[in-house]
Formats: sequence, structure tokens, C-alpha cells
Amino acid sequence: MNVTPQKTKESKARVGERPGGYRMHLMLCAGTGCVSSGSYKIKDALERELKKRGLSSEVAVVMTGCNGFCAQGPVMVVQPDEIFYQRLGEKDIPHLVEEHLLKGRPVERLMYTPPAGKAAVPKMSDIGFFEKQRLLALRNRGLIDPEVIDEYIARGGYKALAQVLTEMKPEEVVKELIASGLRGRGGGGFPTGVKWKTCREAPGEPKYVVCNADEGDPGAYMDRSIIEGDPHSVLEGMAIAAYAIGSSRGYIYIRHEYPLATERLEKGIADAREYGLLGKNIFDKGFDFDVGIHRGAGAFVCGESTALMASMEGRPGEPRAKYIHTVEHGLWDRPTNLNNVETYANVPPIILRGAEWFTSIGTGDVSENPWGGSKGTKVFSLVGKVHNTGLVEVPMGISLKEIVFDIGGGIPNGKKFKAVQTGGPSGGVIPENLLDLPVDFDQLTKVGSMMGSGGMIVMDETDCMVDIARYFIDFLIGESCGKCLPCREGLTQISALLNDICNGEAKEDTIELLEELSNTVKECSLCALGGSAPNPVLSTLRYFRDEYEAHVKDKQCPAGVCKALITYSIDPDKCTGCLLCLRNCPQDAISGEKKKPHKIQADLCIKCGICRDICTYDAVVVR
Amino acid sequence: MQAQEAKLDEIVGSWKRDRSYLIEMLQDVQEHYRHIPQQVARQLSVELDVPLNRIFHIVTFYKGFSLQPRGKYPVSVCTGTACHVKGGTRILENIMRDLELEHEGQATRDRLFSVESVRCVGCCGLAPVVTVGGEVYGDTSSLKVSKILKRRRKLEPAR
Amino acid sequence: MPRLKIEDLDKIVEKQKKTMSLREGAGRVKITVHMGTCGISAGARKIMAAVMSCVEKSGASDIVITTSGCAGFCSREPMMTVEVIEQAPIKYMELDDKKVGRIFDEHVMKGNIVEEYALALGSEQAL
Repeated sequence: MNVTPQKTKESKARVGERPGGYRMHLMLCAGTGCVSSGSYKIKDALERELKKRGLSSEVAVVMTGCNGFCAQGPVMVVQPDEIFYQRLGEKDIPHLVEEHLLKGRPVERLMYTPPAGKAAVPKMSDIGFFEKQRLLALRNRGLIDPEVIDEYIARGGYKALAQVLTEMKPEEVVKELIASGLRGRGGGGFPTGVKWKTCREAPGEPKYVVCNADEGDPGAYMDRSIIEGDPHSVLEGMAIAAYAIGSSRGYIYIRHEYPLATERLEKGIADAREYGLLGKNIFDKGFDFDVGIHRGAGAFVCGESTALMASMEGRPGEPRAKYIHTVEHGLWDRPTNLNNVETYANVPPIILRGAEWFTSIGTGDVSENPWGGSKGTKVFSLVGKVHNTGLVEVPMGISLKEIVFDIGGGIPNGKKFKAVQTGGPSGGVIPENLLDLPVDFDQLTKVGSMMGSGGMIVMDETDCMVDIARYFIDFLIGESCGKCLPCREGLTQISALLNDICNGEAKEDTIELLEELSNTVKECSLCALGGSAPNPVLSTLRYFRDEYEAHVKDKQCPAGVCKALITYSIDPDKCTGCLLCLRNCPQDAISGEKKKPHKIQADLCIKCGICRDICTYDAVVVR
Repeated sequence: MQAQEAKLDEIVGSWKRDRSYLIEMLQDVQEHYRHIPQQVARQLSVELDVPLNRIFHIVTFYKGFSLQPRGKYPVSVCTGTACHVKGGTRILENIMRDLELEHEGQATRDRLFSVESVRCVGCCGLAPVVTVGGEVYGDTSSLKVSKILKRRRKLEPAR
Repeated sequence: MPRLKIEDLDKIVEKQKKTMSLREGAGRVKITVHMGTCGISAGARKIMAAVMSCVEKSGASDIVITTSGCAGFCSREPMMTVEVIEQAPIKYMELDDKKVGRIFDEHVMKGNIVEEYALALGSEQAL
């Protein structure tokens, strides 16, 4: 259960170092999700059992980065058979080792079974969740041990760096990046090559390369997963960027909530230094580059470039006016190139396989205009009310429907799809009638949301859109740095209006006032945080205005979320009288006898929802 | 008192007395004392020649710092979007009521637990998520968390 | 660890090739040792060890070794199947260390089927 970094420090078998090799590799996920579901216990159990069976010299256990299928953790892939096992428990291990690893009979009951089908799917690549994915940024996912630099090199790692240092001038690297059409994966979607060019041409020395790993969007964890699973891909991308813009110093700004990722980065940097892949005179080509780590201290606004740099200088993370660009006056007032984790991870394959290959994936045409399309892939964290939650990497242009239903496996518990929220607190919701929308930077912006860093939260009919809007606004109030008035005061007033609506105290004109105020905050705020803060309100208003009106006019919350507008009751036809809710009600608001339908006393009920959580007969009704 | 000064000296030294690592130093202070003691903030201000008001600006700006001591096992209820839609906010309210806490960041009377909401611990696939003393628990509910806390409390030596 | 030169990258790739081809499921030859209860009691574990040491000695990195259940022909155990890519699989029976060594040198490395140890060509449908 423990995710503290110490867990990974223990010595482990370096698989590639055994001369004869092993016949089988058990690729066990050690991403934060699976670790919290107990993957280190599974590791110990496996090693114990392998030893007992005398298989220790034949079968190796390899701890990999995040596999992506977090909902099913702990997960493990058995190679070379590519058999995918999920939700492993310690007690499953003896049987698994005997049957599959010794006798070669894969164990069906531990395989994935799709929600609709009855037959288990043995091979990972046949599972719907993996089938439609295309892995570029996550190219080494589950294939390497992230703490072994040799395994990264074995998959073509640091070859792109060697190539740019021997065969390409910095200008040519910049040109290749512009031609690839790679756009910033952190949210803005600014063409990476164009940014590199401006930074290269900006006067001032030294220049800095900074990696934004302050993944602040709630509901998104792509960057954590990339760093945990493949730290060298980020370091290599940063080194190439440094060569292209003429820098020799890099920093990674990482959230303090990510201890495991920080630990893997530190190990990666140390190993790369020992190999001379970071440091002075890399590959004897006269190029110097080294990387340091800065830990964030918990402020969403630090994802904003100027705030991030202020924080790195040891100051509070308050943004400044944007007319001074960070590519010219960034960290310590020097030209600074800032990209996010996923962007850097995309750089090595672009160099190795060329811009032309990269532009063959995705939408639009970037040959004339780097803003003309969205090329390559995007990693999304597909979470919320969907069967297969986890991390997915898909080609740009795939439809939302494919992501939610084919990869995600649809909505659980027979509920109806309502909306998908993208772009984090700066984004918006996309309703059902737009499910065929191809996902890329421009299409998402057109419908009032945005790509953002890649959070994709699926919502069903029991999610109230007013409540969601209020949730994001409250989040942003807490994270607003307080420097400019429209954001500081405007958001507080928006929240007050939304509270009125949720509490059934809104007047007829509240919705219009809300709309007007939202547009004012959008227009007048200093930085992108405030400028996009009203988006959740505006986009829910755009697609779910009737739901707002139901709160205002009928004093009802159709989704059954807003406490002031709902009541809990028990359906006497479904209640079996099991006493479970009665015993667990913190207010003693439930009365009844064994085997007779229970009743909730409305004046005592505080609507905490515990009874609905534990009722196994779905008898608690919220209206 | 001397121990406090020695500890601070060690922390400041480990960052080579470089003022640009002020935030990192404060993080180490927070980790050690479970809050930023006033006395330490003052010493740090003198040591690094940084105005005290800058230190308090930082401490109150970032969520990672607190001026009141946190519990021995800080309980962080994730209220990221995925956890919110799966009931994380309700879990927060229920635990606070359970532990008789009035505001976030407050510690229980025995200083064992303090509860606060965090925005996304990055385990969205397992929502709703709660961490207790750094251990991550996925797919939880109000009742499950309250059982975890009870078990934790039982394991503590009586005092 | 010494500082790397550009050529060293390829050396590491070569050194790790076996590890990676195993995980990527890419191999030129697949050797399956049949490990049913009867196979194990007839000595299939020893056959596995022999196969692994042959692979180790040869230094080959494109051979995948797996196990499978009972081949259904218990009286002829221990058995293994050798499948060279794009060729029909061959089942070998009543194996011992010496036979494994010869099959490995002849069939796996050179592509010549050792007919005298072979049970049959192809899998069950082909029989």
C-alpha cells in the first residue's frame, strides 16, 4: 500500500545482466495506482513462489512504469505470451505460478473480461482498452524497467540525441520540429518548434530549458505516468531542446505530491550522468547539458509559465503580465524554453523517424502553417464514470465516442452518458450530441472546451452540471493568486451566484447575471488562469441551460446532487430490511425492523449519502 | 532550542545556503516539524537574509505549508474532478464530522490525524482516493476510511 | 560505468536484444516444452533446463522459450515443439539432454529437422 520512495530503493535483479537470460518476464506494474492496490505485495509473493518451485533462474519479475489500465490493478503482463492478468491478489499467486509459469496453462479467471462479453480476453493487445491506442509518448510503457537506463537505450534511447549531435545543426533540429507540427501538450497547444526558434534567436546568456511537471489539473496524471514509466525519454527530449536553442542548463519543476516520480527522475539523472549522457562534452561533441530538479509546493497557478519561474526563483508563484515573453525574459530574466513532460517525450521519436512520419498521424495540414492541424498522439487520463479507467494514448482525430465507449467500455451500472469534461478547470463539458467530434486542439476549442493537459472525465446522469461548474470555480478561487481583481473578486461572486442556484435561492435574473459576470472575468483577468476560469460555467450554460433553469424555476436538481434540493427516501419494494443502513446512519435517521422496509426521517437526515453507498439492493432513492 | 537551530542549519546547508531553494528548505522544515514554527521562520529569515514577510507570503501562498501542526498521520481526501464525481467531497465532509473537526488542516485532539482536501493525487483511475500518512487507498467510501482510521488508531501505543 | 561513446549505444542494444525481443514477442524460433503432470514426472523440467543452457551457450537472442500443457501423448513424454517462423511446427518426443542438444544445433540453429526424434510434422490438425 505504501507509495513512499523507499520502496523502490531495494536492490533488485537487473534482468539484462544474467548471461543466459530468462525464458519469461513478468512485467508487473509499479505505477502509483497499482502500487496502492498492492503490487509490491504481489512481487514478494511471486518471488517467494518462484523460488519454491525452482523457477527463479527461468522467470524474472520486472517492475515497470504505469501500464495505464489503473482500474484493474494490480496488473501484470506475462511475456513472451503477452498474457494480461488483472486485479491480482496474493492468494492467486501459487495457482498462477504452477499453472501458467510451470505448466504453460494461462489462468482464465485472472484475465480481463469485457463488460458486455462473457469470454475472457487473454492477450493484452486484444483487449479493447489497448487495441485502439497508439503509443508514441508512452512508447516504452510496460516494456522497460524505468530504473534501468540500459533498457531505455535498448529500445533506441539516446539515439536521437546522438543523431542531432553528429548529423544536425541546431537550426536543422528547430526546422524539423516546426515541420513535425508538434504542439505543446501542456494545454496551450503552441507549436513547439516555433517556441524553440524564438528562444534560440532571443538575445541573452545563459539560456534555460525547463520542463513543466507541475501537473496541476485535477483529474489528470499523464505526466506522472510518463516520468514514472520512462524518465529518460523526458531527459533526452530536454537535451535535444537544449542543443537546439543553445542552452546548457535544464530544470524540471515537479509537484511535491509526486514522490515516486521525483525518485525515478533523480535515479535517471544520476545514471545519465554516469554514462556521460548529461554533463560536460556529451558524446565528445562539445555539447554540455545538465538537469536539476525543483519541487513545487502545491499551487495550481504554478503551471502558468511566469508563476512557475517565479516559484523556481524561490518566490510566491504569482504570474506577471504576458507582454514580456518567457522565451525572451524567463527564469532569472534569461531566455527560457518551457515545455511540458509529454511534449519532451515526443521529441526523440520525431528526430529518429522524421517529421514526415509524425505528420502522417493526426489531423489537418501543418506544411504551411504550424497551427494548421494537430499532429501525433495525445495521452488522456480517462476517468470518472467509465468502465475502463486509466491512461490512454490515441492518435489525434479519434472521436470522443471511440474513446469513451470502445476504449473506456462505456458507462457502468447501466447509467446513461451525460457529458465528458476536458481541459481541466480551464476547459468545458461536451454533451452527448457532440460525441462524434474528432478530438484535436482546434475542434475542442470550437465547442467551448479545450485540450488542456489531457484530463477526460466522463459523467453520467447522476452528475449535476451546476454542481460541476461550482466545483471548478471553487477550485479556482482556492488557487487564484489574488494579484488581479477580476479573478480574485469575480470568481468569488460567480461562486456566490452558483451557490444560490444550488441552494434553490436564485432569482429569475441570476443566470443572466452569471453569464455577464463570467464574460467580464474572461475579458479582464491578467493571466490564463483567470482568463479561462469562467469556462466551466459558460460551457455548462451553453449545453445544459435547462438544468440551470430547473434549479432556478422548479427548485429541483434533476441529477439528485444539490443537497438543498433533494430528499433521501427508501423504496419499500426494493428494501429487504437488512438493517445495514440503519446501523450505519450517523444521525440515527433511519428506523425500521428486521425484514421490514426501513424509513428515512427527513428532518434528521443530513444527506451524507452513506446509506446509498452501502445499500446492496439499490433501494435508497434520491429525488 | 539548540536542537532547533542545529536542525535548521542542517537543512539550509543541504541546499548550499542558496536562497533560490527557499521553498525547498521550507518543505524540509514542514516535513520535520509537520508545520512551519514561527521561531524557525524567524531564524531562516536571519540566516538567509530574506525578509520575514517574504517567508510568510510563501508559507501562506502554497498549500503544502501549514502554520498549525498537522496530525501524525495527515489524511488527505482527494477532491480532484474524478474523485469529486465519485463522491470524494462527501467523504471529506463525513470524515470531518466523524473526527469532530471544524475546519480543514485542524488536527484531532490526540494529534493523530488532521484532515484536508487535496486536488488530485494522480490516482484518478482508482477514484475516490484517500491518503493516510502517505499511504494511498483507492476505491474508498466514507465507511472504509473510517475503518482505516480506527485500525490506525488501535495500532498506536496508548499515551 | 564508463562514459558512453556513440558506438556504445549499439553495444547496449545488442546486449539487451534478447530481453527486448522476449518482451516484444518477436522471435525467429519458438520452443515449447510440454509441462503437463505426466511431462513433469517424465523429466520435462530437466528438458527445460537443457534448452535454456543450449540457448545460453549459443548466445542467440531471437529464440523464445515457453511452456504449454500436456501434449496429449503421455507415453512419449517428455516432449517439445520447435516452431521456426513461417514453417510448420515439429513435435519431438522421448527427449533427453543429448537429443535436445542435437535438435538445437540442427533444427533450431541450422533449420534441418531431426526426423528420427520427430513424432510428427505439424500440429494436431495436420496429423
